[in-house]
Order: sequence, then C-alpha cells, then structure tokens
Amino acid sequence: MNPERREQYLKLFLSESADLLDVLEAGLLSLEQGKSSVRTVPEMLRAVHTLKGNSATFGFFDLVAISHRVEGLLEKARRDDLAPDALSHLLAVVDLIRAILRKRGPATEPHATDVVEITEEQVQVALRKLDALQSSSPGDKGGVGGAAVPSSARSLPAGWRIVFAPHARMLLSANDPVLLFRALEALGPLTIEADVSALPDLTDFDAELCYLRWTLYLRCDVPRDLVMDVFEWVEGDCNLEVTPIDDAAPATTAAPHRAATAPVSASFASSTLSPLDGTDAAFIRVDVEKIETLINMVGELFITQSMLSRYGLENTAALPSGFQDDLALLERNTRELQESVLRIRMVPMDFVFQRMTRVVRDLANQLGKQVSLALSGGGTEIDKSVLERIVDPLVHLMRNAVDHGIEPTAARRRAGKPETGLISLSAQHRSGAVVVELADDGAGISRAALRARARQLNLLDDVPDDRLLDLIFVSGFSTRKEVDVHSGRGVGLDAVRRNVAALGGTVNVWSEEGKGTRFELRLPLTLAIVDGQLVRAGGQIYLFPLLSIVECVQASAARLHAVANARPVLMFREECVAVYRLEEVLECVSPDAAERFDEFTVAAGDLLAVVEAGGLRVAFRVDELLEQQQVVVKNIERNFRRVSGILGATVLGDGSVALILDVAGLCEQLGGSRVDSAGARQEVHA
Amino acid sequence: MTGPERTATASDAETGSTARQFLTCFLGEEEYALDILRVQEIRCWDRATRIPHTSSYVKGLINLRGDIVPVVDLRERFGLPSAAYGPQTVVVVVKAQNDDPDHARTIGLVVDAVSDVYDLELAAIRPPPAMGSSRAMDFIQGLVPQQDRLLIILDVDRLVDLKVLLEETARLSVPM
Repeated sequence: MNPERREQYLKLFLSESADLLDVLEAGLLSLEQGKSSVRTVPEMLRAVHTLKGNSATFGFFDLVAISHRVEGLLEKARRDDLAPDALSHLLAVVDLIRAILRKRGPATEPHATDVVEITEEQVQVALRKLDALQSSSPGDKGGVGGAAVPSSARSLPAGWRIVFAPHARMLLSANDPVLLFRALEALGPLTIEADVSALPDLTDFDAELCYLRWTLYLRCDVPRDLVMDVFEWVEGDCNLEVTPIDDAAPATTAAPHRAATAPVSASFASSTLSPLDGTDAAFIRVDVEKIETLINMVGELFITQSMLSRYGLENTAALPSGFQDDLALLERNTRELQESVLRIRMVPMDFVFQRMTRVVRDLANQLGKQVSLALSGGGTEIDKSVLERIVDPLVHLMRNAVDHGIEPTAARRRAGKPETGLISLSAQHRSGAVVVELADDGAGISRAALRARARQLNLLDDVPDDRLLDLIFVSGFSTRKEVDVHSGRGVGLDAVRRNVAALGGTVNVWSEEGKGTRFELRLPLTLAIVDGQLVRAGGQIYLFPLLSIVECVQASAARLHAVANARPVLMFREECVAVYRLEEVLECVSPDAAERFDEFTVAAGDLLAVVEAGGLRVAFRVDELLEQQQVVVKNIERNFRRVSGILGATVLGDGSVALILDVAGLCEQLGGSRVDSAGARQEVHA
Repeated sequence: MTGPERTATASDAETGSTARQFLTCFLGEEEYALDILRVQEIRCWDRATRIPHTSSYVKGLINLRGDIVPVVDLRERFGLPSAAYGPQTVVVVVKAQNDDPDHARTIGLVVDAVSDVYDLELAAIRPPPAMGSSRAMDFIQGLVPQQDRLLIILDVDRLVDLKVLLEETARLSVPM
C-alpha cells in the first residue's frame, strides 16, 4: 500500500475500530447485566470480525491474534453464557486494544486522559488468558475453539502449502482470487504457481468462468486458522487443500482432488457476517475537516448576507420595490441553511453515556459497592466539540458520585436505603441550552465538614449556607489526598467548573445530607455560533455572549457607590458587584475613542452590563448598548495568538471585526472577590 | 518599471545559482525586500480592530475574505519614528511557511509604500554586519546592493513567528 494512501486509510481504520470496540463493549456490558438480546452476540461477532480483517490489512498482527481469540470466545457465547470473569477479561481486552490503537495512531484525541504503555508482555498475558478461557469448557464442536488452540507453547510450521482450485463458477460470486492472494501476502512471503492447463481455446473461452488453479507457498509461521480465514468467503466454491510446509509429505500433483484435508472453520459460515464495510447504510463517515470547511463557508455566506441586508436597510429609497422582500427571503434561507449545517456537528449524548456506564461499572467493582446507573435523554444532541470537552468533567463527577457519594452497602443498609445505590444521568434541551444532570442517592455533602475545612484554610468565617456548597469548586479545597491511577492532570472540581465555564456554561450543585447530591451542568448547544449582545467600549465594538449576561442596567446614583480605595460598586439584587470600565480591563482603546485612559470613571447614568461566569459576578461599564445578534465565532489563534479575555472574533455586517469576550476568563482574572453587603471585599479564593 | 531582467538561463545553469523574486517596499528612505512567494496580496490601509493586551505596533485585526488577520506596523515594530497614515499607506499581506503544515499564518504589514519586484541572485545576498541592537536586526536576513541602493531582505517567517511574538510581548514592560 503506498504510504500516503496508507496514512489516509489508517485514520479511517482507527476511527472505524473505535466504533467497533464501542459496539463490542456495549455488548459485553449488556451481557454482564443480563440485558442482551438475540442480536447482541452476532453484532459483537460482526464487529470483532471486521476489526480482525481490517487489522490484517494493516499488518497489525498482534491485533489480529487478539481479535481472533475474542472471536473464539464469542462463538462460545452463542451456545452457552460466558462466565463473569470471562466477560471481565474481555472488557479488559477491549481496553488493551484501545491502548494499542492509540499507540498506532497520531495523538489526535484531545481528551485522552490516560496514556498507558502497552508492553509485549501484557499482550501475551492477555492472549494466554483468552486461550485459557477458550479451552475451559470442553465439548464445543469444531469451529475455532477446536481447530486452533494456538497456545504459546505449541510451535507453528514454517509455512503452508495451499492448493487452491476454484470451481468454474466461483468468479460469478464476485470473488477475485487476486484479493485472496493479497490477503495471504499480508500474512507473510508468498510464492504462487499457476496451473493454466485447463484453459480452453479462445473460441470456447467463457470470460465469466474460472479455468485456473494455483499452488501457493506461504512461508510464515502463522496459525492455520488465519490462512483458512482468507478463504472463508469462497469455501463452498472451491477445493482447498492446506498443508504445513515442513511436513515430510511431498507436494502432490497439481491436479485437484475432492476432499479438503481439514475442515474449513465451519462456525463462521453460519453467522450472517456482513462484508468488510459493515457500516450501517444510513450513515456516512465524513472527515471532520470537510465539515469545518462547509461550516466556514456557510458562515461567510451568512456574513455576506448580513452585509447585503444592512445595505438594503440603509438604501431603501434607492432600491426597486420588492427588493426588500427578496432580501428578507434571502435572510430566511441563509439562516435555515446555517442551522442545518450546524446540526451536522451535533451528536447525541449517548456517546458520552456509554463511557459513563463503563466508568461506573469498573469503579463500583473496584470499590466493592453496588451501584446502578440510570440514563435518560441519550438522544439529546450537542455540538461535538462541546461534547468532547465535557467528557472529562462528567467522568470526574461520576467517579466522585461512586466513590464519595454512594455509601458502602453496609452503611446503606443501616441507613434504611436500598443496598444498590442509584446514580442518574440525564440530558435535555432547555431554553437554548443543554442541561445535564448527575444525581446520586448517596450520603450528600456534609455542611459541617465544609465549614471545618473552610476554617482550616482560613477562608471566610461566616458563610451563608447557600454559598457553602460552592466552596467545593474552590481550588485546593478538597480534603482528600487521592492517589488515583486514573486521574490525569487538572482534575478536581475546580477544573470541572473551569472547563465548563470555558465553554460558556455553568455548573451548580445541590445536596442534602443523607439523601444525595445533584450536579447540574448547563452547556451551550454549540461553539461555532454564539448569540451575543453587541456593545461599544473604548471606541470599538465587542460582543458579550448572551448566556453570560445577567442584566444590562443603567446605573442610578442611588445604586452606584464609590468605595474608598476600591472600585465603584453597584448594588444589584441585594448584592454588591464591582464595576469596571471594559476598555480599561482590556487595555484597549481604539484611536477613534472619545476619551483617554486617564479620564476613566464611572458615573451615574452610565450603562452597565452585569455578567456572570463560574459563580462570579462583575459589572462592565460600556459606552453604548447595540443590537443583539447571532454571530459566527472565528478563531484568532490561527494567525495571531491567544489573547486573554477574548474568546474569538467575528465579522459584523459592515465587514469590520468585533471581538467576542471571554467572560469566564475576565471574571477569573479580575479576582474572585465577592463583595458582601457590608461593602467589605471577601476573597473566596486567590 | 521592471527590475533588472533575469540573466540568461544558460549562465544560471553553469553557475548553478538561483535567483528569487522579491517585492520591495519603503519604510522612510529604507527599502525592504520580501520574498514574493510569501506575499499574498497588497491592500489599502483601512480601520483595524484593536486587540487587548498587545503592543502598540499591532494595529489590530482585519477581515480578509473571512480570514481574521492581524496587522502590524513595521515602522513601529522596528522602532522607527512612526509616520501618519496617508493614501499611499498600504498593507502587505504575507503568509509564512511555519510550523503548521495545514495553515500558513498570515499577517499584514503596514508599510509606507510598495516599490517594485526584483530578481535577486541568492549569491549576491550578504549577511548583515553587526549594526547594534536595532529591533529590526532580528528580522533581517541579509543585504543586497542594487544599483545605487541597498535592499534589506526581511525574514518573513520570523516576522510572523508566534514564539517571537510572545517573547517580545513578555520583554516589553508596558504592553500598551
């Protein structure tokens, strides 16, 4: 395979393999929970078989060997149930394959939390265990189990001699011997001798029939099964004879004889294996880059249409009648097009949910707790890039729920609770956002413990109850010294809140001791476009994401207070909010600005935008409030660099660039000060 | 007016030397040369959106057919006295061939005026002598005498380099 194509196909292979492994894992989990259907095992077999074939194409023989044995075990599962430890081991094997695949591919996963090094040793151990499980129950007829127990102890012959005599009509079933030979060649060095003695004269030649037979020598110590698998599709249409090469028996004549010397793996013939493609006809696999390009182009179209609309508005008199209507129609069409295209990026939450099932199962087993996970709203769709960035925070919250939330069985019994703890994870669309809720019926968060810890850290002494829970999100607050092998860097509830805030979302917590805890994450539907409030400050235009705005107010003298040696403060809904001039915080004044830096003050009658992110509220004074608009978010790092306080840029209707504010970043930068009603500033965290 | 014509290809083949084309532009009296392969286009100066927390030589962001491109004033960047922008002021948009194979970073350079396109023999390029610590030194690739002038060849890749940009930002005590 030429190297460039290989690179391209490798990406496809890795992506497809990930999906196949998900199918396998889902099947294994459902078998374990006794929730499988008649279709489960065949589906898993199909997935593993495809994985095996694809791996062989790329020469990943360790994967071929592993998949082969997994297939064998799953074949057993058709007849009798697999023991729990077999299922557990298979799940571990799935992880092993994932790790091997990660090594084979480029490091593209943004959220790969653990990079576990896979050694040859580990692969061998896994293989041996698979073999042991395979041979543990005697009496399975023929098939993979019987014919091939390639335990590491048994040596393989140096190669195989294959006499392959297709029946005349074999070609009619679209089987091409060349492909078979290529597959064999992927296993090892191959020499081919063709027997053309049966070729008729040209006048008698029927192009659709096969008149050739071949003798092939595969000089490689692979198990016989692998050779037989290559011919699996044509088993009924040919005479096949496969003999080991270092056997004493000399090669017989090239003339074919009826009986094959060994049965072809009978077990596969029965399953309804789909062709190597195996994907559902209703879906098309598309490179993410193509989608990005499409979204960019539609975004451009949107901007161009905006400019046209604006022109239309400003020049109504000069334009022919009916033109305005046409423009309005254009705007509607463009908007619909944009919405449709953005929907392409939406994926269902199921992608994350499946991962959760595994997390809960593994951790519960490890800790010896009984936990059941109830999922709902898996079909709720969310932008792929948002999804990718909440996987880790959700996993962390889930682990917390199992580890610290759900009590050990004995404790639950004493408390009169059902022995199995219940964790529920749900996702739904609510008022333009995706709301994900994670709740457990466990021990809840102890207020007393929180207060004690707060005192210990010399934080504020007297925190009102509703603020107390928020403390868990403070960096360094947790009292646990977890040495968790699965924890990557940057975990902790503070990271959870930060990551969610960086997306423009929020996370809140409710808890009742003895009853349970609930986390609620509100996430934007997509990152590609944002609904925002345009403002003018320091002579240029900025955009506040609407989700971040609490309210825009006009500062009345009664509510605006100067506090000695500190910032002006706004009384807003019983709370004191610090007020900043936007252009001062950004250190950014356009040459057309009306005022200079040294004249910065906030006066009564000024317009203030009160914003909130990550639990912190800040008010920004702006010169002017402009319209609300939905805009396409453009990345400024492509040509420049990351700028603190700025999320991205967008192009307005007049073609000029407006900067989109990173409210979460700004709030964090300005300090975690919440000012209480006495006007004293309290540092909640550094 | 075109620059010196390419010398006969025969002699090129003999000596094995290569010539490259450069676009030159003026900053005051000095003539700077940019590898033409890295020049994407030339635009008139128009308003740019200022970027927070950046040095004053970064004039802001402009919209280039959907691409958000930063514009840098070369005079200010090189520490030359700044000049008022006039109708001749142009922005030379250059693309670097840097780290990312998928995307060539694009920036705009504000210059006084654009001059000409020259074919310059690579062999004729002299390394710059140590001329003190002018800020421009970092970006000068070489000097080429051209008739009665001296052309200063700029390293476009370095001008656009993110790391250099970040270092400069850190070095400057007052960002604005």
